[in-house]
Amino acid sequence: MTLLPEGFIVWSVLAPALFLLGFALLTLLLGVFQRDRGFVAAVALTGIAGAAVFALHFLMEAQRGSAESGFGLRYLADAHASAFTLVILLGTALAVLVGQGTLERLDLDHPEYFPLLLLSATGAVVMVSAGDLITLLLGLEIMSLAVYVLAAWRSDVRQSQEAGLKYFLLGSFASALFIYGIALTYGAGGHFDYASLMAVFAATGFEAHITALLGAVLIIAGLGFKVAFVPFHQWAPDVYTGAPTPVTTFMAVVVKTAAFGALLRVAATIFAGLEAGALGAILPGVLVVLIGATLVVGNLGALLQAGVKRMLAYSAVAHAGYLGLAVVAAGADGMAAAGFYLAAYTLMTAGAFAVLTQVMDDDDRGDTIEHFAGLGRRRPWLAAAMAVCLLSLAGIPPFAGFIGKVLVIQAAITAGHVVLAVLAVVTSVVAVVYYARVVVAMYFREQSSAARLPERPASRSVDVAIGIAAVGTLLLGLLPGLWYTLLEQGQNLLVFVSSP
Amino acid sequence: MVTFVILAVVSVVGALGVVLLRQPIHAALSLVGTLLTLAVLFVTLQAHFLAVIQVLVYAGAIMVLFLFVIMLLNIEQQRKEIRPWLRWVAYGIGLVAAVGLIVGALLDPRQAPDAAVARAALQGGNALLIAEVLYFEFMLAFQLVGVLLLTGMVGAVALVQRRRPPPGGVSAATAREAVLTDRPGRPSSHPVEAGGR
Amino acid sequence: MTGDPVSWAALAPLLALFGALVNGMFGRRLREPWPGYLASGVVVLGFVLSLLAFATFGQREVGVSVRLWEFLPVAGLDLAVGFHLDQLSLLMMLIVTGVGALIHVYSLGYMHGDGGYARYFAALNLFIAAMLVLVMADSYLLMFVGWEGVGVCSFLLIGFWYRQQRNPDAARKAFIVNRIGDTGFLLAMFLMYRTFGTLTIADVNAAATAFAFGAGALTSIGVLLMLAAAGKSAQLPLHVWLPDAMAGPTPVSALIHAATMVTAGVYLIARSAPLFAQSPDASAVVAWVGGLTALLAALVALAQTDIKRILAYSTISQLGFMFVAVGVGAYWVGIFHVLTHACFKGLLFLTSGSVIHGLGGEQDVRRMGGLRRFMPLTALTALVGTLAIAGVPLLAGFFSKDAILLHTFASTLLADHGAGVLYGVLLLSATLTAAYMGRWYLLVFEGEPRLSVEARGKVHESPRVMTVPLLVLAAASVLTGYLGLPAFAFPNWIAPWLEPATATVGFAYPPLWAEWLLIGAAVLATVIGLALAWWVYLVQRGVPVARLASGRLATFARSGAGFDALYQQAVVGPAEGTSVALAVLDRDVLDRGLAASVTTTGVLARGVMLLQTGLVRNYALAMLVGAVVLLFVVVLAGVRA
Repeated sequence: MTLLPEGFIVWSVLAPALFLLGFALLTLLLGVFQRDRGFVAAVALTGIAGAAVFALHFLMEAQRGSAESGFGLRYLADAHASAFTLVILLGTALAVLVGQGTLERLDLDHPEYFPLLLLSATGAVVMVSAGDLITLLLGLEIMSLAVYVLAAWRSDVRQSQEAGLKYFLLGSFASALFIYGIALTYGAGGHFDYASLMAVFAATGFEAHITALLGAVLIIAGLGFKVAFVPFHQWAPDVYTGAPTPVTTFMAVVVKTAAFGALLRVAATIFAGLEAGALGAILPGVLVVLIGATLVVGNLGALLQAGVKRMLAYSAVAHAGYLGLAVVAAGADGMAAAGFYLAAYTLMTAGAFAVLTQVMDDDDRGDTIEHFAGLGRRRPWLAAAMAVCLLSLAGIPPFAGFIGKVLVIQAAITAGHVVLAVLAVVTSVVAVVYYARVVVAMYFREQSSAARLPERPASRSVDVAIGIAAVGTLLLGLLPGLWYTLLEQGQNLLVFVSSP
Repeated sequence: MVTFVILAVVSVVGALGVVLLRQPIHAALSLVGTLLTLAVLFVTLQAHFLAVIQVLVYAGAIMVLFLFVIMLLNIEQQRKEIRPWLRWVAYGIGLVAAVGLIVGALLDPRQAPDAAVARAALQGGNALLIAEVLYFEFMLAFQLVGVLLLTGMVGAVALVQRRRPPPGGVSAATAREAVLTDRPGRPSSHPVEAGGR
Repeated sequence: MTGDPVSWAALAPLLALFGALVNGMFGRRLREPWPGYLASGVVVLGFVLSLLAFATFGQREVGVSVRLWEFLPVAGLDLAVGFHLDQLSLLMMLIVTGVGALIHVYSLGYMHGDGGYARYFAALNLFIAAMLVLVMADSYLLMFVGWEGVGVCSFLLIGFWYRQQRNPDAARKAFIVNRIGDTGFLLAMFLMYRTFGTLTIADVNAAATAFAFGAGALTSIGVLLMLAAAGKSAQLPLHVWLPDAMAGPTPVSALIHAATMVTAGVYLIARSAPLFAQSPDASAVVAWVGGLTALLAALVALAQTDIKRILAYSTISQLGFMFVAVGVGAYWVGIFHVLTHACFKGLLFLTSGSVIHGLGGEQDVRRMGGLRRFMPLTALTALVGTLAIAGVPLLAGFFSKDAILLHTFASTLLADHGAGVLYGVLLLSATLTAAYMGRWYLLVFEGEPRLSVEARGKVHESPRVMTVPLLVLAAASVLTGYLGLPAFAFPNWIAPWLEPATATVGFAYPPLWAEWLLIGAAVLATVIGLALAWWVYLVQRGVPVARLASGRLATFARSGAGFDALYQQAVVGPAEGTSVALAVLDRDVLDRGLAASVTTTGVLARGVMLLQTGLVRNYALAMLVGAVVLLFVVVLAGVRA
């Protein structure tokens, strides 16, 4: 019988995830007794805030150079993990606020909504904190399973059903690829945890490059599905459009953050180890092609969409491309750049979807550009928030999206991927067109009689979400150092150091 | 070696049967065959515990569940396919993928581990070994599986405890025509949109 | 924030920004006096903070740095946002918040009942915030933020009454001309970063001191900075926007286009003093541009008939004097003149505002006259301002102008660049200054009333909220001069105070009797100018001018020395021609190309959409194909290896 080394099991590093899980169970129980959904939402927000406190604590520890980890480097609480956890919690909080204000109106109000949201967030937190492939896989499945159900939340509406089913089928397929990738990686390296794999792959005398590369490619395919890299992206427009808008808000920000957090970690460890060996140039080449295709397809797809929701879905694909720039530069400045980008992306995307819930009618329909015409006059604050979010998504200064783009492009150039950086800049020009169309409609066109804004009292919790998103977008654009320095100066465990 | 080849062939044939057979019942039974051969493979590796679990959990519990579902849903013969050639394209690509993986495996310069080595590693009935790995090294993963199951349960309850979907069954229809698409000419999900542009 | 009261002054721009935000966002919901009270309150508070910092600064050698936040640690470039509070910036802060506070209070009366009351105060507060950032910035980059900020506020306030076509046009003109100067600022920053590797003012100045005397790089940076300063401070040949900028409300003209913003150019040169002290060529450009501007603008001011345009040209001329001062290396003198000029020119603008207010919008001096009887307090303060700017002894303008003349005469930095000739130019300009200011005062306040009938009925003295600032500024127009008494005979406070913050340049001071002689010459110039005005306009009732009026010189001067016409022909005309040619090129060549690329993009986008069939099996197939292709790339690479 082998005894575990002292200090192998460290429950404390799980604190943010455990807190979320605990509050997921609490809201589940409350849902049985408590009809007041506002109270349940408040409890959920409390849980998120508690988890955020722990995550912040770990981030501060990482600032001091004493990042923590547990389970033999299988679960990490370093700068990367806790920063991404904070972004996930921000996205979840915004989704809870949007959900609280719209569920009843959209007939989505079932007691399992908030528990599933929190469970999904738990999975997301596990993903970004994972230090081995098994933990990553389980986090991914926990997150995905909840989101599949949430996408199909309006069981009486065909689109929602279709979205849930499509997401589930394709997601299972992607998981199969991912698991196959894990199996091959294990076959090549004999370990599941990043630290050992990194060491084995980079060691002299390692010969199973092909097997390891095949595993890496399939891992890219599996995680590429979640972040919506072309050609694994096609679910995204359909599912984003079909899912109820409050769910889409959650999906667009949290799933993307978690998947990128995991992908960056894998890229910075396993891939970096592989790249040090023979055939090392193949993996960056594969990634560059995927990311280039994502930039082109995402932006072109968004260009001609009539529905704003669908346009935002394609824009989510396009932003996966920009974030991909950070993945090819992972290890260098890529992780910090992506951490900043995702915080900005969470704020501006959640803000845009939150505005969308206010414009669309009680059947969750009516998101065409016509519906936005003249919004600047009718609802000036709403239109202003939407304009801030869209201009930020387009990457226009002084908003956060601009700084994010600068950071990832800079990271890509530092890592030597100039062609990709140029492509990113060129496609950003296309992106301005489709975002600006909505802004132009809001401010320079008269309200069309066919598309009338629904008359209803504004929801305060959605207003709060929109306010946080818009102000945050502006604040991160003006004071990017506030967040970026935390990311850049915090200690990251498992950083690949190439041996001579 | 001979045992291995026979078992390998049987399991691959069974797997192909799962994909190729039209009748769901046939496909499910074919899967049972594959799972059972896998159990036998475990036995040849001296992994008796795993073999028993394989039979109990997969061939026993899960397959029974599959068969119940198939019986309850009473799925009839599939109607005419829309694009029969697509099936063959998929077969082709699958074949290509298989070839690729085999070539990749052959390119791996390492020697396969000796059967004796594997046996030595797994000696002693190996339930203890599995327990050690499961509850010590993969403690965290073990706990996370619990969370995963909980999520699945909550999700399933949430989806089922609702009004029934509209008659006709959404899921069956989805396979044939989709509402959510960019394709011009398809029914738009947004009525306003259709007239809007 | 530390315990040091000096660093508390860093709050001043934030306070003003807060006022601007509140007024801008909620101003429409506040009832009338409140936006004004709020705006005035934050500026007064800013003045108190500046005063506190000034009082506790003491005898420190180096300024206090307040680092607000790191913007972004981008490789190699330190983009921190921070303020640097030293003698120079504290003095400028006092001017900005002091004059600013008085003008805010004055505006309470002047803008009473205007439809855009809150909008006005929001813009005015924003201006104060931007101007404070400009003078407090510790790097050229942050200074540029303030530089652009004041430009935007100036644009907003010139075009404040935007319903008249003339005003937005003037605002646009100011903005466009300023862009030329801004280009100079940007290029100067690029060159600075290339040469010194930093944009922090203290580091640039330290590096410049260590540089070779008269090096080409320093001269280039200096000339580019001067281009920027010429744009903002309306110097030749970029002065054309300032007379038109008088379209804005008069308090705006007083604050932005006389007392503070237009002096930003002088501040920029003084702030970069160590750099200019190392480059006589760049300094010569500064001084000569200033000298020629002073002369030309004074000449033009003689022929103007609009009460505010006269003052505008006078401002341009006085700014020219300041540039001569900083050009010859007498940096404290330049800032000293900024200070005194802020007081008496602010005063003059406010009195003219009081006159315009009292006459219900009349601005033509030919239809005024004799107003002293109707507006005694305004007339008295205007007289103080006029005598101060003309350089009558014992008033503020006398001391600062005399210091400029003396240091030009004694300059060693420009000894090879015609300092003597420059002295003559300035003396002539001083004479003209006395003459046109005398004309201004006499035409407005003395002689027979030439008012229209309806104006005569309405004319009244302004309310107390407007006259009190006049009195304060009048007192300042007398007293501020005593901060900088001639150093050879009296105690001088301002020169040693400012010296650590600027640079030391040697001067060949003449012997004592010669200094007295120089003062005598300056006084004589003033007396000649004033006497001329008195004789022509009061004794002869303007008859000698009527004969001159059709002459070529008069026409030339009336048209603003022909600069607008020149630009019309030399710049606007060719630009329009080029535009037409470009439009043809654009339409027939570029647009087609662009249209083709747009069409291509559209076709590609449609292609992407065609792939989005909505069918799960197609999506799964795409994923599978993608994964298989990736697998084969790896396998093929493995086979080859």
